[in-house]
Amino acid sequence: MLKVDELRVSVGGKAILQGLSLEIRPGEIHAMMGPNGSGKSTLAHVLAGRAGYEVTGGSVTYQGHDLLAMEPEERAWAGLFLGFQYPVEIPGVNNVYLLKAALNAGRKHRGEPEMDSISFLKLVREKAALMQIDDSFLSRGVNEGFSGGEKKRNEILQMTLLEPKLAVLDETDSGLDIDALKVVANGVNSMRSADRSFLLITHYQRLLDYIQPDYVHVLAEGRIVRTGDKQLATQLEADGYDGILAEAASL
Amino acid sequence: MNTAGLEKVWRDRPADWLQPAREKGMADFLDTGFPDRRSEAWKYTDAEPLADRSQAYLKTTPVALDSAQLPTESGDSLPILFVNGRLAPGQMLPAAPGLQVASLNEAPSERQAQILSRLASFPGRPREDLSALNAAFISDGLWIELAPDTVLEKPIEILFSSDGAQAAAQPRIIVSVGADSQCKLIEHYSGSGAGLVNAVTDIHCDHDARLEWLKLQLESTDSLHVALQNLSLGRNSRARLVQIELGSQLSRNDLQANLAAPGAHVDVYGLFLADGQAHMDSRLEIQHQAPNTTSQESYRGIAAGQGRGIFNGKIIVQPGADGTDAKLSNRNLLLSSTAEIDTKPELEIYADDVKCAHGATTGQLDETALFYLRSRGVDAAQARAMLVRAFAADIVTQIPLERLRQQVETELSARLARDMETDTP
Repeated sequence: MLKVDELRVSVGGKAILQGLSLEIRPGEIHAMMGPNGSGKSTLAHVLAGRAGYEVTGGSVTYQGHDLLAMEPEERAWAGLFLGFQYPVEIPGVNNVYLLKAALNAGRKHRGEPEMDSISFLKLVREKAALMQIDDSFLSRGVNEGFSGGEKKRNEILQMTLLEPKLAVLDETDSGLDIDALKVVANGVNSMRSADRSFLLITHYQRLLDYIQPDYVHVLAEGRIVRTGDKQLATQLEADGYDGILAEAASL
Repeated sequence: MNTAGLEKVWRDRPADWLQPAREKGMADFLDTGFPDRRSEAWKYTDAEPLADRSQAYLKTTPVALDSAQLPTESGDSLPILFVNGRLAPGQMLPAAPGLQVASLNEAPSERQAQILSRLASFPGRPREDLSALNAAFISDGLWIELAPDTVLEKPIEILFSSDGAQAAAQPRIIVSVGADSQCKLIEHYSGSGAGLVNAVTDIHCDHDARLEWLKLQLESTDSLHVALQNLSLGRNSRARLVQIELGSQLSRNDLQANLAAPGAHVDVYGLFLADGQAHMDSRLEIQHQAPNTTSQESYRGIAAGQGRGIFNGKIIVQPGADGTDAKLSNRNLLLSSTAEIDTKPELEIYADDVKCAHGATTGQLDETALFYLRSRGVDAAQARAMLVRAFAADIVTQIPLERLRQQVETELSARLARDMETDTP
């Protein structure tokens, strides 16, 4: 699905990712944990194709394609989804309008017929109910005046609608109360399948109480310093990043 | 600029009942000629194309073709069609209780003195606008009078169409809204070819009147368009004005609103799109002449391609106009490196105890929002167009008629789709 090989990325001349390697196979859920400034969000943005990041070395292969050569929308058409840490408010662009444009853009590029308005509205209402998003939110501007939790649920709503092959969720759990966290986790769990993969980027172990990862990685100073299973997250919760990093340094 | 040619053309015209107004107009015009860039009001706009085309086209009196397709009452408005600045042959004028409408070329004799008096007292500024030239060469127009206590449900929609002829349309619209009356007026400019429009619209609202006024300018890209909108508001009267300027290669719109008596209020919403080679120049002057008058102006400009936009908004608070509350905001969007917008919001305050605010911004599309849309699979051109439409939406949603709102949205979408393909920022 995704192979990141010795990826090096700079922002404004400062090296952020310093030889990061990661392989995600179909159906797997990977958690990427790490302290602030370790490069977690940079990884998410580079995978989605945001401008302003300079790739200075390494490669990223997604389903056999050179991901870094693709435009952000091409990545979306190919089934990559980024759940934003800070979803953007876009007043004047209607939420449903964006969802429909996004869904049909993907279908068009995969050679599938576009969905008509009636089927689309039925589908989006179903998915919104699952995410406990009120219908009235659908007709508002994209994320306009949404609370932090509503924005994150809206991200997951978009994900369930677009049915990506690989979803990168950047700190989707941050700023959520426990109820919202469960709703978000349910959304992710309902999407689990043998041919769909997830990269959960998170600062806290809490999310992993609700979503069982196959692998947990610890990112520090732009490299993965530890990889393990769910136990690693538990250990992190107990010892903190300092303990793990000290242990990694002594190896 | 040489005006002798125009003077001869004017002298050779057959005289009609408007002659006193035409004479005053011609005298005022000859005093100053066409404006030039030494005038602050024309600092950014070269009037020479207007002068050239006026001299070329005014030689012939415009003709409205018989073949013009008369509008049928679509149900949501009372349409009146002008072709090349003249009332279309066979056009019936709307009739309703309390409403009087007459064409200027065929005004009943008992109305003529009243119309001439309004023309004589029109507050034109020969150095700044082309209203004197309009008066000299009025091609046709309307007198619209709403009696006191009259509510006109349907808007009067004046359709100014150019049929592609090299015609100089010089329409003059004169409106009186009686005390406690309510009406909606739409000026809807469209057409084909390299025409010239020099329009003047003059509206007086008596006390406690309510007016909604929409100007929709969708002329062809080869045309030149100049318009002066004059609004005078009586005690406790309220007006809401929406201006949408999307057409012409050179468009110049002046709005002068006079809040002439206590309690008068005006809202102004404006939008222009200057794309391709278009040059859009919009001016507002809001005069607070009496105590406790209030106004709110919200104007947005978009420039793409090699387009050039100019916004000049001035709020003047006259001595004694205490309790004035005025807010002027202008936001502009530049969509290409070759587009340009000049904005100048101004306040002139000669009274104490006033609340005035003004602000202007010019920026580009939000890169974060653009990335967000693209990350969802919306391609770059479509994402840019979505954000521009969102920027325009605050003004477009103010259009009082659903049909016209949709027409503007469709036009904007088509134009932006084209602009986004040709412009790479």
